[in-house]
Amino acid sequence: MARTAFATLLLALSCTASAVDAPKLVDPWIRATPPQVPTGAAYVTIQGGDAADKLTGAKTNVAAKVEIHTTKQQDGVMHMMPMDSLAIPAHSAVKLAPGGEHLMLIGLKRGLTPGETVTITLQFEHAGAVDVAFPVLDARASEPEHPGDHMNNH
Amino acid sequence: MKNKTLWSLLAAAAVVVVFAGVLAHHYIADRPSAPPTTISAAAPPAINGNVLPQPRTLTPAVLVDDDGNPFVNADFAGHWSLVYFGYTYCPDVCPLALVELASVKKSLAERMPDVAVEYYLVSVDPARDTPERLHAYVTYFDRGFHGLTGSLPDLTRFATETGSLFLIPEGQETTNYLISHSTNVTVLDPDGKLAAVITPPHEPATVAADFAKIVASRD
Repeated sequence: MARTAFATLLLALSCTASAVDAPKLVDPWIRATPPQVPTGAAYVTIQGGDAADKLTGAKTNVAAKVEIHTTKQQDGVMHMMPMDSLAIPAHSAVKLAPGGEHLMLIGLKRGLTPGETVTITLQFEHAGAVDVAFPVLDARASEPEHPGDHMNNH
Repeated sequence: MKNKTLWSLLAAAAVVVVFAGVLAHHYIADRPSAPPTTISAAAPPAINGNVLPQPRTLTPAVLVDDDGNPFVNADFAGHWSLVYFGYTYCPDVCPLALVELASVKKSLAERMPDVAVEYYLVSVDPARDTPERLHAYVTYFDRGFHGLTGSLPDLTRFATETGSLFLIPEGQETTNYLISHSTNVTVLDPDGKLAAVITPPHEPATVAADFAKIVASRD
Protein backbone atom coordinates (compact mmCIF):
# COMPACT_ATOMS: atom_id res chain seq x y z
CA MET A 1 0.00 0.00 0.00
CA ALA A 2 2.73 2.43 1.00
CA ARG A 3 4.80 1.39 -2.00
CA THR A 4 1.93 2.07 -4.38
CA ALA A 5 1.25 5.39 -2.75
CA PHE A 6 4.90 6.32 -2.96
CA ALA A 7 5.10 5.27 -6.59
CA THR A 8 1.98 7.26 -7.38
CA LEU A 9 3.43 10.29 -5.60
CA LEU A 10 6.65 10.01 -7.56
CA LEU A 11 4.72 9.64 -10.81
CA ALA A 12 2.56 12.65 -9.96
CA LEU A 13 5.63 14.71 -9.12
CA SER A 14 7.41 13.77 -12.32
CA CYS A 15 4.36 14.63 -14.35
CA THR A 16 4.08 17.96 -12.63
CA ALA A 17 7.77 18.70 -13.16
CA SER A 18 7.63 17.96 -16.87
CA ALA A 19 4.34 19.81 -17.29
CA VAL A 20 5.94 22.98 -15.93
CA ASP A 21 9.15 22.84 -17.97
CA ALA A 22 8.25 21.04 -21.17
CA PRO A 23 7.01 22.83 -24.26
CA LYS A 24 3.34 22.34 -25.07
CA LEU A 25 2.39 21.06 -28.50
CA VAL A 26 -0.74 22.76 -29.80
CA ASP A 27 -2.81 22.07 -32.96
CA PRO A 28 -0.57 19.45 -34.55
CA TRP A 29 -1.55 18.37 -38.06
CA ILE A 30 -0.11 16.66 -41.08
CA ARG A 31 -1.06 17.59 -44.62
CA ALA A 32 -2.60 14.55 -46.33
CA THR A 33 -0.31 13.51 -49.15
CA PRO A 34 -1.29 13.77 -52.81
CA PRO A 35 -1.02 10.45 -54.67
CA GLN A 36 2.48 9.04 -55.14
CA VAL A 37 4.20 11.76 -53.12
CA PRO A 38 6.81 10.28 -50.75
CA THR A 39 7.50 13.46 -48.78
CA GLY A 40 5.13 14.96 -46.25
CA ALA A 41 4.92 18.00 -44.00
CA ALA A 42 3.81 18.18 -40.38
CA TYR A 43 2.92 21.36 -38.54
CA VAL A 44 2.37 22.30 -34.90
CA THR A 45 2.62 25.29 -32.57
CA ILE A 46 5.25 24.77 -29.88
CA GLN A 47 4.67 26.82 -26.76
CA GLY A 48 7.79 27.22 -24.69
CA GLY A 49 7.59 26.21 -21.04
CA ASP A 50 9.32 27.95 -18.15
CA ALA A 51 12.74 27.07 -19.49
CA ALA A 52 14.08 27.79 -22.97
CA ASP A 53 14.47 24.64 -25.02
CA LYS A 54 15.39 23.49 -28.50
CA LEU A 55 13.74 21.07 -30.89
CA THR A 56 16.63 18.97 -32.11
CA GLY A 57 14.92 16.29 -34.15
CA ALA A 58 12.00 13.98 -34.61
CA LYS A 59 11.12 10.52 -35.78
CA THR A 60 8.11 8.54 -36.82
CA ASN A 61 7.29 5.02 -37.92
CA VAL A 62 5.65 6.13 -41.16
CA ALA A 63 8.76 7.76 -42.64
CA ALA A 64 12.41 6.87 -43.03
CA LYS A 65 13.39 10.12 -41.36
CA VAL A 66 12.06 13.45 -40.17
CA GLU A 67 13.90 16.73 -40.54
CA ILE A 68 13.17 20.24 -39.33
CA HIS A 69 12.93 22.50 -42.39
CA THR A 70 12.59 26.17 -42.99
CA THR A 71 11.66 27.99 -46.18
CA LYS A 72 13.02 31.38 -47.07
CA GLN A 73 12.43 33.70 -50.05
CA GLN A 74 15.75 35.05 -51.16
CA ASP A 75 16.75 36.69 -54.46
CA GLY A 76 13.56 35.62 -56.20
CA VAL A 77 13.89 31.99 -55.17
CA MET A 78 12.26 29.99 -52.38
CA HIS A 79 14.92 28.02 -50.55
CA MET A 80 13.98 24.98 -48.50
CA MET A 81 16.67 24.15 -45.96
CA PRO A 82 17.11 21.64 -43.15
CA MET A 83 17.82 23.04 -39.69
CA ASP A 84 19.88 21.37 -37.00
CA SER A 85 17.59 22.66 -34.32
CA LEU A 86 14.78 25.08 -33.68
CA ALA A 87 14.98 27.36 -30.63
CA ILE A 88 11.91 27.38 -28.41
CA PRO A 89 12.24 30.41 -26.10
CA ALA A 90 10.54 30.22 -22.72
CA HIS A 91 6.91 31.35 -22.73
CA SER A 92 6.96 31.97 -26.50
CA ALA A 93 5.00 30.25 -29.26
CA VAL A 94 6.87 28.97 -32.27
CA LYS A 95 4.46 28.10 -35.04
CA LEU A 96 5.36 25.55 -37.70
CA ALA A 97 2.97 26.40 -40.54
CA PRO A 98 2.68 26.11 -44.35
CA GLY A 99 5.16 28.31 -46.15
CA GLY A 100 7.43 28.50 -43.10
CA GLU A 101 9.05 26.04 -40.72
CA HIS A 102 7.76 22.50 -40.86
CA LEU A 103 8.70 18.94 -40.05
CA MET A 104 9.55 17.26 -43.32
CA LEU A 105 8.68 13.58 -43.44
CA ILE A 106 11.13 11.95 -45.82
CA GLY A 107 10.68 8.57 -47.43
CA LEU A 108 7.07 7.99 -46.47
CA LYS A 109 6.29 4.30 -46.37
CA ARG A 110 2.73 4.91 -47.44
CA GLY A 111 0.37 7.73 -48.34
CA LEU A 112 -1.20 9.62 -45.46
CA THR A 113 -4.97 9.86 -45.67
CA PRO A 114 -7.32 12.28 -43.90
CA GLY A 115 -8.81 10.82 -40.76
CA GLU A 116 -5.80 8.84 -39.61
CA THR A 117 -3.46 9.88 -36.82
CA VAL A 118 0.30 9.58 -36.99
CA THR A 119 2.56 9.65 -33.94
CA ILE A 120 5.70 11.72 -34.28
CA THR A 121 8.23 11.70 -31.46
CA LEU A 122 9.70 15.17 -31.05
CA GLN A 123 13.14 15.37 -29.49
CA PHE A 124 13.87 18.36 -27.27
CA GLU A 125 17.27 19.23 -25.84
CA HIS A 126 15.94 19.56 -22.27
CA ALA A 127 12.45 18.10 -22.28
CA GLY A 128 13.59 14.94 -24.00
CA ALA A 129 11.44 12.80 -26.25
CA VAL A 130 7.79 13.79 -26.51
CA ASP A 131 5.24 11.68 -28.41
CA VAL A 132 2.67 13.76 -30.24
CA ALA A 133 -0.40 12.55 -32.12
CA PHE A 134 -0.68 14.34 -35.46
CA PRO A 135 -4.06 14.06 -37.19
CA VAL A 136 -3.85 13.86 -40.98
CA LEU A 137 -5.97 16.59 -42.50
CA ASP A 138 -7.07 17.24 -46.07
CA ALA A 139 -4.38 19.09 -47.98
CA ARG A 140 -6.87 21.16 -49.88
CA ALA A 141 -6.99 23.85 -47.20
CA SER A 142 -3.98 25.94 -46.32
CA GLU A 143 -4.98 26.20 -42.69
CA PRO A 144 -7.43 23.37 -42.19
CA GLU A 145 -9.91 23.37 -39.37
CA HIS A 146 -8.97 21.07 -36.52
CA PRO A 147 -11.48 18.54 -35.27
CA GLY A 148 -11.78 20.52 -32.04
CA ASP A 149 -12.97 23.65 -33.89
CA HIS A 150 -16.25 22.04 -34.87
CA MET A 151 -16.96 20.93 -31.34
CA ASN A 152 -16.38 24.40 -29.93
CA ASN A 153 -18.88 25.95 -32.31
CA HIS A 154 -21.82 23.85 -31.13
CA MET B 1 49.56 87.05 -84.88
CA LYS B 2 52.13 84.37 -85.70
CA ASN B 3 51.04 81.61 -88.15
CA LYS B 4 51.68 78.83 -85.66
CA THR B 5 49.35 80.36 -83.09
CA LEU B 6 46.68 80.95 -85.71
CA TRP B 7 46.76 77.36 -86.87
CA SER B 8 46.60 76.08 -83.27
CA LEU B 9 43.58 78.24 -82.66
CA LEU B 10 41.88 77.00 -85.81
CA ALA B 11 42.64 73.39 -84.92
CA ALA B 12 41.20 73.85 -81.44
CA ALA B 13 38.09 75.48 -82.87
CA ALA B 14 37.67 72.60 -85.31
CA VAL B 15 37.81 70.10 -82.46
CA VAL B 16 35.21 72.02 -80.52
CA VAL B 17 32.91 72.24 -83.54
CA VAL B 18 33.23 68.52 -84.28
CA PHE B 19 32.63 67.65 -80.64
CA ALA B 20 29.56 69.89 -80.48
CA GLY B 21 28.29 68.31 -83.68
CA VAL B 22 28.64 64.82 -82.21
CA LEU B 23 26.80 65.84 -79.05
CA ALA B 24 24.03 67.50 -81.02
CA HIS B 25 23.58 64.46 -83.20
CA HIS B 26 23.43 62.18 -80.21
CA TYR B 27 20.92 64.13 -78.22
CA ILE B 28 18.78 65.71 -80.88
CA ALA B 29 18.88 63.81 -84.12
CA ASP B 30 18.55 60.36 -82.46
CA ARG B 31 15.23 61.16 -80.77
CA PRO B 32 12.59 58.74 -82.04
CA SER B 33 10.02 60.43 -84.16
CA ALA B 34 7.12 58.41 -82.71
CA PRO B 35 6.65 56.56 -79.40
CA PRO B 36 6.98 52.73 -79.53
CA THR B 37 3.72 50.89 -80.13
CA THR B 38 2.14 49.31 -77.07
CA ILE B 39 -1.00 47.25 -76.48
CA SER B 40 -2.58 50.11 -74.55
CA ALA B 41 -1.71 53.77 -74.43
CA ALA B 42 -2.13 53.71 -70.64
CA ALA B 43 0.61 52.54 -68.29
CA PRO B 44 0.41 48.87 -67.28
CA PRO B 45 -1.67 48.26 -64.12
CA ALA B 46 0.11 48.12 -60.79
CA ILE B 47 -0.01 44.60 -59.34
CA ASN B 48 1.95 42.55 -56.82
CA GLY B 49 4.56 41.82 -59.44
CA ASN B 50 5.12 43.11 -62.95
CA VAL B 51 2.91 43.58 -65.99
CA LEU B 52 4.94 43.76 -69.17
CA PRO B 53 4.20 46.86 -71.26
CA GLN B 54 4.66 44.65 -74.31
CA PRO B 55 3.76 40.92 -74.06
CA ARG B 56 6.80 38.80 -74.81
CA THR B 57 6.87 35.91 -77.30
CA LEU B 58 8.45 32.77 -75.83
CA THR B 59 10.97 30.59 -77.65
CA PRO B 60 9.16 27.61 -79.23
CA ALA B 61 9.70 24.33 -77.45
CA VAL B 62 8.03 20.95 -77.26
CA LEU B 63 7.15 20.11 -73.67
CA VAL B 64 5.23 17.05 -72.47
CA ASP B 65 1.84 17.27 -70.75
CA ASP B 66 0.58 15.07 -67.94
CA ASP B 67 -1.05 12.69 -70.39
CA GLY B 68 2.35 12.12 -71.95
CA ASN B 69 1.48 14.06 -75.11
CA PRO B 70 3.63 16.73 -76.76
CA PHE B 71 2.74 20.27 -75.73
CA VAL B 72 3.79 23.13 -78.00
CA ASN B 73 3.64 26.89 -77.47
CA ALA B 74 0.51 27.10 -79.64
CA ASP B 75 -1.24 24.99 -76.99
CA PHE B 76 -1.04 28.00 -74.67
CA ALA B 77 -3.12 30.07 -77.11
CA GLY B 78 -6.86 30.59 -76.93
CA HIS B 79 -6.99 31.11 -73.18
CA TRP B 80 -5.11 32.84 -70.40
CA SER B 81 -2.62 30.61 -68.61
CA LEU B 82 -1.49 30.76 -65.00
CA VAL B 83 1.80 28.92 -64.69
CA TYR B 84 3.58 27.81 -61.52
CA PHE B 85 7.05 26.25 -61.48
CA GLY B 86 7.37 23.48 -58.89
CA TYR B 87 7.78 19.75 -58.36
CA THR B 88 5.92 16.88 -56.77
CA TYR B 89 8.58 15.99 -54.20
CA CYS B 90 8.20 19.44 -52.67
CA PRO B 91 6.43 18.81 -49.35
CA ASP B 92 5.28 22.23 -48.26
CA VAL B 93 5.62 25.15 -50.67
CA CYS B 94 4.15 23.51 -53.79
CA PRO B 95 1.09 21.93 -52.15
CA LEU B 96 0.34 25.29 -50.57
CA ALA B 97 0.71 27.08 -53.92
CA LEU B 98 -1.59 24.63 -55.70
CA VAL B 99 -4.16 24.91 -52.94
CA GLU B 100 -4.00 28.68 -53.36
CA LEU B 101 -4.32 28.41 -57.15
CA ALA B 102 -7.32 26.13 -56.78
CA SER B 103 -8.87 28.84 -54.67
CA VAL B 104 -7.99 31.45 -57.30
CA LYS B 105 -9.62 29.27 -59.95
CA LYS B 106 -12.87 29.09 -57.98
CA SER B 107 -12.80 32.82 -57.39
CA LEU B 108 -12.18 33.66 -61.06
CA ALA B 109 -14.89 31.24 -62.21
CA GLU B 110 -17.37 33.28 -60.21
CA ARG B 111 -15.93 36.68 -60.90
CA MET B 112 -15.21 36.40 -64.63
CA PRO B 113 -16.89 33.22 -65.92
CA ASP B 114 -16.47 34.29 -69.57
CA VAL B 115 -12.68 34.48 -69.37
CA ALA B 116 -11.05 31.15 -70.18
CA VAL B 117 -8.12 30.37 -67.87
CA GLU B 118 -6.02 27.21 -67.64
CA TYR B 119 -3.62 26.31 -64.84
CA TYR B 120 -0.24 24.63 -65.29
CA LEU B 121 2.30 23.19 -62.90
CA VAL B 122 5.57 23.19 -64.84
CA SER B 123 8.03 20.77 -63.33
CA VAL B 124 11.49 21.92 -62.31
CA ASP B 125 12.32 18.26 -61.65
CA PRO B 126 12.07 16.38 -64.96
CA ALA B 127 14.24 13.55 -63.59
CA ARG B 128 11.59 12.50 -61.06
CA ASP B 129 8.37 14.09 -62.31
CA THR B 130 7.03 11.75 -64.96
CA PRO B 131 3.79 12.72 -66.75
CA GLU B 132 1.96 10.07 -64.75
CA ARG B 133 3.28 11.40 -61.48
CA LEU B 134 2.38 14.95 -62.48
CA HIS B 135 -1.11 13.90 -63.50
CA ALA B 136 -1.85 12.24 -60.15
CA TYR B 137 -0.43 15.27 -58.33
CA VAL B 138 -2.08 18.20 -60.14
CA THR B 139 -5.51 16.60 -60.47
CA TYR B 140 -5.49 16.02 -56.72
CA PHE B 141 -5.66 19.78 -56.20
CA ASP B 142 -8.10 20.44 -59.04
CA ARG B 143 -9.42 18.09 -61.68
CA GLY B 144 -8.77 20.69 -64.36
CA PHE B 145 -5.14 21.44 -63.50
CA HIS B 146 -2.43 20.50 -65.98
CA GLY B 147 1.15 19.38 -65.53
CA LEU B 148 4.03 19.98 -67.92
CA THR B 149 7.49 18.47 -68.05
CA GLY B 150 10.14 18.21 -70.75
CA SER B 151 13.85 18.32 -71.30
CA LEU B 152 15.90 20.19 -68.73
CA PRO B 153 17.17 22.76 -71.28
CA ASP B 154 13.62 23.49 -72.50
CA LEU B 155 12.26 23.83 -68.97
CA THR B 156 15.18 26.02 -67.94
CA ARG B 157 14.67 28.29 -70.94
CA PHE B 158 10.94 28.54 -70.26
CA ALA B 159 11.65 29.53 -66.66
CA THR B 160 14.35 32.03 -67.56
CA GLU B 161 12.29 33.68 -70.30
CA THR B 162 9.43 34.15 -67.88
CA GLY B 163 11.58 35.52 -65.06
CA SER B 164 11.85 32.41 -62.89
CA LEU B 165 14.77 30.38 -61.62
CA PHE B 166 15.25 26.90 -60.25
CA LEU B 167 18.32 25.27 -58.78
CA ILE B 168 18.76 21.50 -58.97
CA PRO B 169 21.55 20.42 -56.61
CA GLU B 170 24.39 18.54 -58.25
CA GLY B 171 25.96 15.28 -57.24
CA GLN B 172 23.01 13.99 -55.28
CA GLU B 173 23.38 10.46 -53.97
CA THR B 174 19.78 9.94 -52.96
CA THR B 175 16.49 10.64 -54.69
CA ASN B 176 15.43 12.86 -51.79
CA TYR B 177 16.98 16.11 -52.96
CA LEU B 178 15.19 19.44 -52.67
CA ILE B 179 15.02 22.05 -55.41
CA SER B 180 14.97 25.76 -54.67
CA HIS B 181 12.73 27.55 -57.12
CA SER B 182 10.96 30.81 -57.81
CA THR B 183 7.38 30.80 -56.64
CA ASN B 184 5.91 33.28 -59.10
CA VAL B 185 2.52 32.93 -60.73
CA THR B 186 3.37 33.55 -64.37
CA VAL B 187 0.60 34.87 -66.61
CA LEU B 188 0.50 34.06 -70.33
CA ASP B 189 -2.05 35.84 -72.48
CA PRO B 190 -4.42 34.22 -75.02
CA ASP B 191 -1.70 34.60 -77.67
CA GLY B 192 0.54 32.43 -75.51
CA LYS B 193 2.83 35.36 -74.76
CA LEU B 194 4.22 36.37 -71.39
CA ALA B 195 1.92 39.08 -70.06
CA ALA B 196 2.80 39.41 -66.38
CA VAL B 197 4.52 37.86 -63.38
CA ILE B 198 2.67 37.86 -60.06
CA THR B 199 5.21 37.62 -57.24
CA PRO B 200 4.78 35.82 -53.91
CA PRO B 201 3.15 35.62 -51.42
CA HIS B 202 0.03 34.37 -53.13
CA GLU B 203 -3.01 35.31 -51.11
CA PRO B 204 -5.75 33.93 -53.41
CA ALA B 205 -7.88 37.10 -53.20
CA THR B 206 -4.89 39.23 -54.21
CA VAL B 207 -3.91 36.97 -57.11
CA ALA B 208 -7.48 36.97 -58.41
CA ALA B 209 -7.68 40.75 -58.14
CA ASP B 210 -4.33 41.21 -59.89
CA PHE B 211 -5.35 38.84 -62.67
CA ALA B 212 -8.59 40.79 -63.14
CA LYS B 213 -6.56 44.01 -63.51
CA ILE B 214 -4.33 42.39 -66.13
CA VAL B 215 -7.31 41.17 -68.16
CA ALA B 216 -9.07 44.52 -67.86
CA SER B 217 -6.00 46.37 -69.12
CA ARG B 218 -6.35 44.53 -72.39
CA ASP B 219 -9.86 45.70 -73.14
